[in-house]
Amino acid sequence: MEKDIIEVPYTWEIPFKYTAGEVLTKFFYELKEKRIMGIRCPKCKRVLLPPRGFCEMCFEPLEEWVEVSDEGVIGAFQICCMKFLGAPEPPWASGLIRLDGADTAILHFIGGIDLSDIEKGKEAIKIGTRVKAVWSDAPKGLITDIRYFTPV
Amino acid sequence: MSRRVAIVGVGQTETATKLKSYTHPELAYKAVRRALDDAGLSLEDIDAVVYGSMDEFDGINCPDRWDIDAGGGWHNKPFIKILTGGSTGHATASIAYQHVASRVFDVVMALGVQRVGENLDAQAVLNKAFNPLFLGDFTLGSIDGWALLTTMHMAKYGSREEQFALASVIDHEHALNNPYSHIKKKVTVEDVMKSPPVCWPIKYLECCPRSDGACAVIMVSEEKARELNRKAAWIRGVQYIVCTPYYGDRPGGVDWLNLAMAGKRLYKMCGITNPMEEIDVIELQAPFPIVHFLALEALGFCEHGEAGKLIESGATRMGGKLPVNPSGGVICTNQIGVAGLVRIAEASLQIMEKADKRQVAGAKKALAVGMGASRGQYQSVMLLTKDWN
Amino acid sequence: MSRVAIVGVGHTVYSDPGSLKEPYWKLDFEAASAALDDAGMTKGDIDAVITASYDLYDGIVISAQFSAGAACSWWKDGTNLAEDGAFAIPSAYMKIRSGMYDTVMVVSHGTIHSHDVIMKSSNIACDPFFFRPIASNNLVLNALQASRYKDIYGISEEYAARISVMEHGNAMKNPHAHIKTEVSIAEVLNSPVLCWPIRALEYCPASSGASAIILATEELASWRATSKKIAYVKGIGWASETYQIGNNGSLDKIASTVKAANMAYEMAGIKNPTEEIDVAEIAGVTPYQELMLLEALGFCDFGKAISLVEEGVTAIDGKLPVNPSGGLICTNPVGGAGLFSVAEAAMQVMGMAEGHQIEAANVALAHGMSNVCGPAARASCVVIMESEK
Ligand SMILES: [Zn+2]
Repeated sequence: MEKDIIEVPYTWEIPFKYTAGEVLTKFFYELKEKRIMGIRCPKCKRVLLPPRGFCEMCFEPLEEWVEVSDEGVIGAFQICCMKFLGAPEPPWASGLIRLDGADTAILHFIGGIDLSDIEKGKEAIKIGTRVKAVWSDAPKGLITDIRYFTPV
Repeated sequence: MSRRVAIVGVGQTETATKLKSYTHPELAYKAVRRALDDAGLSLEDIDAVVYGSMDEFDGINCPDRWDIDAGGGWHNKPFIKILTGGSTGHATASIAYQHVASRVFDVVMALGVQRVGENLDAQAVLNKAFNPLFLGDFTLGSIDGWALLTTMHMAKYGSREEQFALASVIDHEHALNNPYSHIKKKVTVEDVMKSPPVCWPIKYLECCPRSDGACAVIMVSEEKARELNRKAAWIRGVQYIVCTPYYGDRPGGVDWLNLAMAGKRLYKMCGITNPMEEIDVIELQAPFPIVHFLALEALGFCEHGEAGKLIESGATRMGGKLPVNPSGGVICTNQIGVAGLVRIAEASLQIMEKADKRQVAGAKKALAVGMGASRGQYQSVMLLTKDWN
Repeated sequence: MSRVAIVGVGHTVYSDPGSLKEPYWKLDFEAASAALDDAGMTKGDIDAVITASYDLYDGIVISAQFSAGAACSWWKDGTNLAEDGAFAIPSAYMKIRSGMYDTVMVVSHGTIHSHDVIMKSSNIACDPFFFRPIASNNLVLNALQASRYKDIYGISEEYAARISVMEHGNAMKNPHAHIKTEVSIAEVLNSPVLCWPIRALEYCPASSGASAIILATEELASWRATSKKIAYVKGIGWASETYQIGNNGSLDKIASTVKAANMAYEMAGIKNPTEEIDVAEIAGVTPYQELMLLEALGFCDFGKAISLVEEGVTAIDGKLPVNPSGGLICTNPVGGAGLFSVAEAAMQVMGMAEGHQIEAANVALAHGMSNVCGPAARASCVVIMESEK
């Protein structure tokens, strides 16, 4: 075919509001006060973070809140060097961080480090590195009230 | 010969425009927990899970991923996700049925979760279902398409607006008996007729709501059903049929030849010769009154064009010869991708005599009818029975 | 018990979606037509259809509605899985095993045109509270898992690069492959980091193209031309994983693949996979993932995959060639990738592969993954097939 194939451009724009439910609502209100709350399973006794309404292992409903530390250990990390639609300007890093007092890890940004040289970045961030939360000055009750975790 | 399969557990959540107490996976968990309790089983007993949802309403691409732990993700259970539009719920159940009928598994759960309340305009989502090159610009979403079929039916068979209104009135009447129903409000034909037209001739009180809700159904092999020795509904037969998405192409127009064909196949499979006499109750996935008309006619409960009269005769009311939607149906609760599974759940409850205030006395054969995607591109029927023969 | 056979395989050419001149349903149509040709069948010979596609990747709500007709499902049972295409095989297998159908057509495609679409849609596959705000997508989460695996087992970057070099070399021999460029270890190691430790030349492309497979009962398979071989499905297995990757101390293992492989091996009676399997097509989108998969599939102990590669076992002329097609690192129709792998594995045992045909390939393993959020809620599917001896 000689003529250019027609393509119709389209962007989906549909507004949503996601329900946090009772458990996460409590968590986010506490987070606004700079307290990180986990939830303990009555059966396996693990303190789960992020908190959730049921333990996926024991299949029991959860309600016992436990405050955990805002300091913990990196369990896995990555350093992103590519620009994605809607994501931060590269380079940036994220990781799984197990906070003291919790049995499971949360995913968060790892920051406060110069990542422009990836070799140096890898030196600063390692599996096992201890990190601490850096809080936002104007918390809104969102997970990003913690701006990132930084090595201590 | 297929292995016999029975439904032994049903779990539903309450429904509302927005169930604010739960996150998506917590809502799934609620339905699963209730189904397990109903069947007297634990999560460990479930061999595999089939999950259905229509992603876009919830604003999550593949909500099955976030929900997976409500379906045994932690336990590494076999899990697959089905998506066929409004017929997702029925398709989920029919695939789950094949998991057991094939002898690959003995205990399987069909799980549907939908949160239509998370988006601020369901019709904007539905608009994205149309071929962007031909239909996307000319269609609002769903209601206008059903209005086309309504005017076609009125022109071809002379059915009247009051007859459509009555179908909605009956669904509303029945919904008052169902604790899981979203809309609970008595309405009269006059109320419906006076309610504002949304897409004429469809009026506001003839439109389904958008609902949050989840449902889980547990299916087991004949051997396992014996072992459990609980109330059970046999899946006596199931048929699923697909036709064209271009609704200008559809042969038969308002005569829904595809559903008629699925019905014939089902009746043959189950040895049904006179559906009106043999079937005791129907659960029909009808988001608007026109679907009552098209389905009752296509499935042989009356001649083409006669559904209005059948409804006016009172046959489809509770206490009538063929109660349709004792649950209140989809006009009163529409968790879109789950609504088809809820029909099967409700039909099973009728057979298991667990339907409480909405129980049809002595129901031995219950028909669940599902449909979805562009005015019923997908159609499906499942017959649930008390006894195999 | 009658076996289930693969009697027809069809591929389109896989290429850059940017150069795509047709909508996805045209690709489905081409692949389905090719499979019918290979099987010596016509549309009417197909009893039921399963498609596998993701709405967001196609940009249409219920995108399967347009694949349905292309896969010849009108007036038939037709379902759509919102899973990787490999998962359609067990569903088709169960449809036949349930005794309901004799022939099932399976079709899946990839047409996603940019990494931005993949990353944005995988970001919105994540929950909106914890993973989504942390810019998660499948590459980021896969990188997280890769770095942990790399660290725990001390995998050097050179080893990872070697796998990419090997796959690129294999793809050169495969007429259907998308990326056909010879690369050196130095080139891979000098290619830019996407998400450390994953480099550009170690990461799958987005490819457009479709695959189709026709499954049938053994009785119908016997009609296939005697000049052609038949692949019998010997084992199937599929399994899921928890969404909560933070729960998981064992992010260095792909648990769903372990479980899926065990299920398939048990069904196929395979005790020693490395000895009994002649060729494998597996769904690793990065070299690290591929190493983890070799371990999860039981081809070696955990942490030992590098020695398998070092000894040349998985090379195209090795004892257990892995991805002679070039694998997903060279051809990745997002959503249809697993069916591409199944088709490639089937073509190996049916003697239909071309420059990359493995001699005396009698038993093949195919593996696919639903990888939308990387390791979070990942699901794996394993199919084992055997040629007529
Ligand atoms: Zn627990």
